[in-house]
Amino acid sequence: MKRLPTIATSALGLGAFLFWLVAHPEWISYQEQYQLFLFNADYLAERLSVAGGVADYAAEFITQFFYVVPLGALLMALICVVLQRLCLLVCRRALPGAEPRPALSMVPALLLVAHMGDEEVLPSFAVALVMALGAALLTMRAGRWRTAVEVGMVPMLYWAAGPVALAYVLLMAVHDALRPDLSLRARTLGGIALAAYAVAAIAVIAQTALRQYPWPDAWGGINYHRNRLTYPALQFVIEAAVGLMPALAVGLHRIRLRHIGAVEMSVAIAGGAALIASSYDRDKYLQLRYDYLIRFERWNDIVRSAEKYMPATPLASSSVNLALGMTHQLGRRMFEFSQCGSDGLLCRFERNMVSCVPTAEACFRLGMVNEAMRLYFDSQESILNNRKSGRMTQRIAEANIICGRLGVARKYLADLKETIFYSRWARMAERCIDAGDLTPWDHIRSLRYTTPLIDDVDPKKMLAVLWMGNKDNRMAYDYLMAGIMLDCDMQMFANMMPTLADTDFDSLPRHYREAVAMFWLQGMLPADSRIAPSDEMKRDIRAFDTHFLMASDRRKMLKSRWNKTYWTYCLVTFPALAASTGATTLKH
Amino acid sequence: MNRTAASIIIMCIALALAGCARRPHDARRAGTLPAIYPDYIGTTIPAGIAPLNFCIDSVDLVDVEVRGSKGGHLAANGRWACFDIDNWHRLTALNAGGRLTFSVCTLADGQWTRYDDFDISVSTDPLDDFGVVYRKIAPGYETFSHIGIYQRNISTFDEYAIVESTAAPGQCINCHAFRGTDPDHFQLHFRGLRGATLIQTEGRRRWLNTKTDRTISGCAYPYWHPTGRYCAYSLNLVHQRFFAAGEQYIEVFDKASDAVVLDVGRNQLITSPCLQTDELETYPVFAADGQSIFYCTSKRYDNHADFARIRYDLCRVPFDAATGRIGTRPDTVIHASAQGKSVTFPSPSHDGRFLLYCQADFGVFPINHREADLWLLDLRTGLTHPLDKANSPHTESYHSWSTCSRWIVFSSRRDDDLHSRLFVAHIDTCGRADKAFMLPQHNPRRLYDRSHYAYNMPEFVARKVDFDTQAAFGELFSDEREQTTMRPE
Repeated sequence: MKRLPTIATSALGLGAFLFWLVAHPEWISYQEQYQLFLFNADYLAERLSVAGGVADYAAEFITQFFYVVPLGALLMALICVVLQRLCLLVCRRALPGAEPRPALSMVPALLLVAHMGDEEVLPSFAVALVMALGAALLTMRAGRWRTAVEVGMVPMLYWAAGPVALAYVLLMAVHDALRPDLSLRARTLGGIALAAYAVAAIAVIAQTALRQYPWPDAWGGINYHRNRLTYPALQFVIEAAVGLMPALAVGLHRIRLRHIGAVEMSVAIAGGAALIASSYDRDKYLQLRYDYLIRFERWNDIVRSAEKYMPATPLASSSVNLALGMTHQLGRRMFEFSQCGSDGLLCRFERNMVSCVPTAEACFRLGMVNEAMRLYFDSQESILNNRKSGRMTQRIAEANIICGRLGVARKYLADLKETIFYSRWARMAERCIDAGDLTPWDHIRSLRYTTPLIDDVDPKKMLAVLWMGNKDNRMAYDYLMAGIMLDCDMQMFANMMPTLADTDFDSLPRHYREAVAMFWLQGMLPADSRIAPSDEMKRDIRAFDTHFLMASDRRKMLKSRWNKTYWTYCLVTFPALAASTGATTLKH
Repeated sequence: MNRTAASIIIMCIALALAGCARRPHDARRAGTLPAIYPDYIGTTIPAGIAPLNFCIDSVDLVDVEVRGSKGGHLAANGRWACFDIDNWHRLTALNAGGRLTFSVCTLADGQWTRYDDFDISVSTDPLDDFGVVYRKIAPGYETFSHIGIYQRNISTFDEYAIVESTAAPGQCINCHAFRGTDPDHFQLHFRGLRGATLIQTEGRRRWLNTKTDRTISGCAYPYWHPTGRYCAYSLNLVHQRFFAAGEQYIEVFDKASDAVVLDVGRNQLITSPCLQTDELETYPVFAADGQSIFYCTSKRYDNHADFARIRYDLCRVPFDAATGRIGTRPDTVIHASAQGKSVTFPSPSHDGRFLLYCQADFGVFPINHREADLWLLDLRTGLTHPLDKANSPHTESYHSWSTCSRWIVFSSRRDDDLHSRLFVAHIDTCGRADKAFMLPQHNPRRLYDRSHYAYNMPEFVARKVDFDTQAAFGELFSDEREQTTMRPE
């Protein structure tokens, strides 16, 4: 069983790697896209100017590599492995002459993975933990200089890693309390003195050097969580687990049962897995997954994922609709998926950093560049810890180039040039600007509005203007029709019907045919209309109508053979919306 | 440790690694003025201002020699022109009323180039104020990330945070205002879930909830009475429209607005029928003698699409500081709307002679108007004129006067058409402005190229502002507020 620690470490590393690579690659991408690590002295100075800044800087340095998701998964797995190995070393220190069982050493790493199920928990916390454990192991080797090292280490570690320095203090106090070579009095007083010193040191630092930060930040951490003034309980549980590691190691080592190692390992793995499973909310992560797939333009993967399950939220709908729009399937398939009205096509702005990103991406591709720039900008400004975003900065720079604000674009490009993964693109863009050659953006430039105009509160009107300005903008047309249908706006659909007339009815996208059939059944199709439903469609809508009128519980309609039709969307899913536009019933 | 300290440490390391200075030799004559950034050529500065360090793009070295018309000289040699602060102060003090002549050489691709000399005038009018207080915020739309109110020592490059959003997460911080340039009377708004108006008088902080059931909003744009007993405010229902295309991309306007005066001691709002009409009233400011209130007023349009028709005139109404009564019969001072213009941000000089304001084609928020310029009203003659030498083809916006009323500081977008920077201009006794200079920075190119902040609402302060941020944080999050009431009629 000598190899058990190595096996445990390998299993943890491999498990963590696969977890982030296969189960939650979106977590990796999410972390990367809400920071912009810059290689310049100002950026370093800004990070080092607050407690925990070294850990934060190191974590952001690592996180920039998450741009390549497999590399990100590997780096996160490495952090877990380092954390576990350091915990194992602490356990070994607590049990001189004996080999500790590895299960305990895995607990902080497993708790950390679970803790990171809150996507706003920053990798800085993980790096800070590693620094605290490293500092503790160094201190343990200090011999007779140990007290002096502790006195210096507490403020240094606090400034470098933040309040995990308290976990260091606890760990050292507990470790000393278990030392047989010290008297009980020395152990007790030593621990109390170290704790008192740490509290006093942190208080002084907070009062003098963190004047622009609220008092709770000094104790809960400035850079451990993206959301300011948020300190999840699990963060303190992990810190306590690290701090109490020597005592737990000694306690568990005293348990002498047959197969205790296997039992401990089973409990750690099963408990960890259960905790992790409960920490990653399915719907939330599915929406983050859509955003990740949008970022890398994996439209078919979004559609495939949504075919299995999708949350019924505007964010999810706008993501899936964008994927359908990009693959020219909106008119054919949009009602196969959960829809939330026109809010699920182009979401209304909300002050958060996530919800409008798919809408911004859609606007950018549609040619609504000012709107896209506003949404990117506001999404970036909504990043909870005031950081910038490489992804959004790039888009803002592009939008400025497209709009001809080249001076402002250069400012953003200057930032991107100081990164690893965006600099190549930024240099290319700068060369284009220098040469006056904007061909990379010609397509979007050709889709833009041609005259100055004010944004209307109704996105359908803006889409209509956009499409009228350039009738080759097929995506604008698809989105316009989708918006009309999602609003059940039959009047506006009627206005748009002439645009369908040149196409054979059976060649029209399915949902357009369904809408035309509704007009036909209501007798609203003009006699001279060049477009008329096929016999099969007429039979189908008559059957739907009969079924609809007879159904005692209309929710059952959602499970019927028409559940993926525009008719069900209009009359069952959103009857109130349909009522407001006069489409409540088919027959009259 | 603050960011400045950390920057200095890193800079010291960089300097230690830097090579020795090289001096010009075999220089060819350019026959032109150097393209320095910021453009300080021909400006007028006060003695004692921070050194006018400048940069020249695309060169390896800059060598500068400065000679005073009344004596003294100074040199700088490096990647940018960076002058020693003490020597600079001595040189400018010695040459007050004279001029400084700058001789500039640059090294690029191994070749030195000598440019034509240029002058900067040193005024005899002192600028004795400690510095400028401003807000830094990324110029955007509806959200903000890191913002802060800062004070800058204008004799050096030192900037100190008064309050940053890190200290008040989720709160927008805006509208800092002082009684004249006196930092002992200070007001600030915190907007958000725990929003409040902070009034700090002689070190004592009070947190007010200024929204009442008889007012359309909480207090917004402030202006202190010279006695410190009152503070005038506008009440605004602000609306924004965004442009889908075109040069401008945002317009801010009021759906409704009124003006009131807060009796600070009693925490009571005083109003007048002429300041609470169905039209729009905003930006109330007290005259220097405290006996009248200037404010801007415009016709209100119910259709928000008519925002481009909103044009403000400048009016004046009497105010009795002894009783706190506002007159009821206003006079129109500038009938700008008749000329298709809009007057905003009135700011009387502290000596009572002039009133500085913004003039744009329409609207209440000139920062988004490229045509917005600074104009001056001579309160003795009633004549107005644009500050041509201080203005630019880009936006000029918020401004304030120095204690001696011979200097103004204002924000302008002339740098890159988006991020407003601070400029200082000299105003002579006749109201003529000299060419404005950008507030000096240690390394202006590096700072402004990297900064995504706009500098807005600059206010001169005579002394350093004393503000206990951590104590204020505790009070802000305690939710204890003094409810403002309306003064009984």
